[in-house]
Amino acid sequence: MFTEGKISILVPNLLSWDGKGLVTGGVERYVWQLIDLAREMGFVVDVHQNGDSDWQREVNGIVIRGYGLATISTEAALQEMHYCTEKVLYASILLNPAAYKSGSVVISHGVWWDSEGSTGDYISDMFHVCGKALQEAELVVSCDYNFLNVIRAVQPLLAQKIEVIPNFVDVNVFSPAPERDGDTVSILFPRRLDYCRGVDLFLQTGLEILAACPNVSLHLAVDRNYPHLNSQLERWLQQQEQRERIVYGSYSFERMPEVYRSADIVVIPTRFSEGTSFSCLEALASGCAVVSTDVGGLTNLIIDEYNGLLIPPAVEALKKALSRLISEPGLRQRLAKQARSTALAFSHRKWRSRWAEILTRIYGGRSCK
Amino acid sequence: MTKGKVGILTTNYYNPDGNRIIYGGAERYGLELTKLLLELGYGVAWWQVGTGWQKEMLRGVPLYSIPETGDNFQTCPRLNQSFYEQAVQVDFAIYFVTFLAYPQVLEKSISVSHGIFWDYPSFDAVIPTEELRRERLRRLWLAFNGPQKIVSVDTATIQWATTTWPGLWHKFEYIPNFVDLNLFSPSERERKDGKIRVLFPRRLTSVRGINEAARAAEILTKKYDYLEFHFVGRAHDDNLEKEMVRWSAKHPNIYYYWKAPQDMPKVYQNVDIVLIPSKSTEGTSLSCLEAMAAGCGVIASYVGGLPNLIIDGYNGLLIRPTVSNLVAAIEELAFNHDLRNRLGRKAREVADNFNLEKWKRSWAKVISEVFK
Repeated sequence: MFTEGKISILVPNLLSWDGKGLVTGGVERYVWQLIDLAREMGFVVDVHQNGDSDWQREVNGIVIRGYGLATISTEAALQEMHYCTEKVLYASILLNPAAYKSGSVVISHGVWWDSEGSTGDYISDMFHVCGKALQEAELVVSCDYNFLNVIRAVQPLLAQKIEVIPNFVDVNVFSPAPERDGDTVSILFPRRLDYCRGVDLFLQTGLEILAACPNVSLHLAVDRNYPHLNSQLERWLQQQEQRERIVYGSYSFERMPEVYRSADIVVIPTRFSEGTSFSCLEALASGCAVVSTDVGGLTNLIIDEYNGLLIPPAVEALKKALSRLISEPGLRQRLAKQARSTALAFSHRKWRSRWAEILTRIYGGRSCK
Repeated sequence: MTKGKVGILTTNYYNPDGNRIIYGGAERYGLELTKLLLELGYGVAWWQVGTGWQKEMLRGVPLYSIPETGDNFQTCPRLNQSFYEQAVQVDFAIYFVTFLAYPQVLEKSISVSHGIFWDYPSFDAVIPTEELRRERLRRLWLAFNGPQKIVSVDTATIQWATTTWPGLWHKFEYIPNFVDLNLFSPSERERKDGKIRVLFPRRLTSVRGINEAARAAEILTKKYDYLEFHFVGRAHDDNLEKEMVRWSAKHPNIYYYWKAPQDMPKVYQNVDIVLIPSKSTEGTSLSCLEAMAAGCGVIASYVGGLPNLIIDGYNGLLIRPTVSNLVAAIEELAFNHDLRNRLGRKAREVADNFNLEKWKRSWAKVISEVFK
């Protein structure tokens, strides 16, 4: 396929603000995948982001520019980015009141303001922020149907600008273990150490389960974005009686497939701010029995008791679901089998072809196969 | 001895004049819920809007009508008030639509959300100013807070509520709709007449995507003579039904009729592809579940609760309900026999999970928690 055109991707931080380190998170992974696709299609791609000073780096052959103005005002930095670019793709919805460039695409990674701590003013601001993106951009690509449904309930006309492309999983990289042996049950939490990801829910429930079931072990596979959280957790773990049955680590992306393969049950206990979680998709593809909360886009991935268990974000519900899975190996196996088979519907190839169509339509210039 | 009496308040089970029963998803839901309550040992009585007539919904289950018609801000405070006063004889209450729980509720009560029903552009004209919209939301907030539990048929409603009032999720129980797997099952024998049949099994209303489906039918029947379209469902009034009859008569291979609920399983068995192209106002559609249970190739829109039932490309297709998307999706399934079969098989497999027995167990749990 050949096309001519240029896309400038505006993202808060693909690299750290000093431009020296890669940031790891769902949004960043998403952007790297999109960059790969756009370049294969023949687009010239560059990235513009916040910086602690003005800098320019080249990573994997991509020019990334940091804008130091962000230290004073991210809104001003954004205006400068607009000035330095032509056609733009926004990697996420802008939280500041700047205007979007017309003819651009904005990516929504799911609703994020559904926290119990959100005040009424904040919530109406966030609906306003979403409305602005929908009014000014050409198209909003949402990673789940939940964002679409929420917006349609408030702004049905604007919701017509939303196109849904669920997240993807590489089903060749993430694949089930040949056989799991029956005696012990390993329960994995593969998320960031963040309240919104429900780490406290997992720990509280996990300890109760450990106390009740001697054949169970827990595995925390967490990030190190905020080292003080890790040391806090490590200290806490040391105090636990069941410490020897809790595995704790931070792993590179390359090691995650084997981490999933070693797990029987994966818990995605999100409290709020969730789309079609990569972790959930990877757990499904790895043929694990998944327990997920009914928050955000997770409800688009898990059909309760078909390919996982869907629960509200509460300790009692999680405890009940885990006890059930521990005591019913047959259920675990059935869910795991259907988990893998549903994951195949979220293939990387499908995600790429949907995006390729959008990139051609919005940024295309001419293209031929 | 009964465990107590449950009063259920709804808007319309029959038309307000009491003459025409409304065959819709919500009404079938009401019937199953009534049967479950009776099985569990409760007495049941229904109330709705009407001119004062009284009927029997099932043996021993009275349906009273309340002559209050006024509604404002999408709530019915006077109906609510009359019910509250008349329901002194009941122990527990179910508000069959969430907004009926405004402004006051019986202490031990549950409300039901059948899905987001205001998500279409012209709703703006119903509540046209910011002030009115705020007042509507304020009332809905009170209605959500009254009952001890809100049973929601889909997660979209819960998500909307928690993005509008975070923390409200504590109130909600997600109990998706049900299908009777014994009644709805795939056809045993393969048809060999070379036709591909497409079914639109919904009420003929704009929000259900009737206009888009009809246009797609015109385009496709002109193009392929082996495609047949069956529109099976009632309209809100006789004129529209007559118009559909005239329209379908003009087009070879397009048929319009309607069937009683007990005849629907056969209708599904006779088709290959089922369209659920709702544009708004959708929960976990019974029609969609029935089509899945019948092992059909389902083409659904991504509206409301439908993404709770269909995973795109796994057990059906999820599309934005436009004419061109419908045409493309129907062509994809009509030409691709293997894909259609695979989606249909998985649809049936997933439908197993929404069986009526499971729905009853989930409801029985909520009932036992609240009605005690």
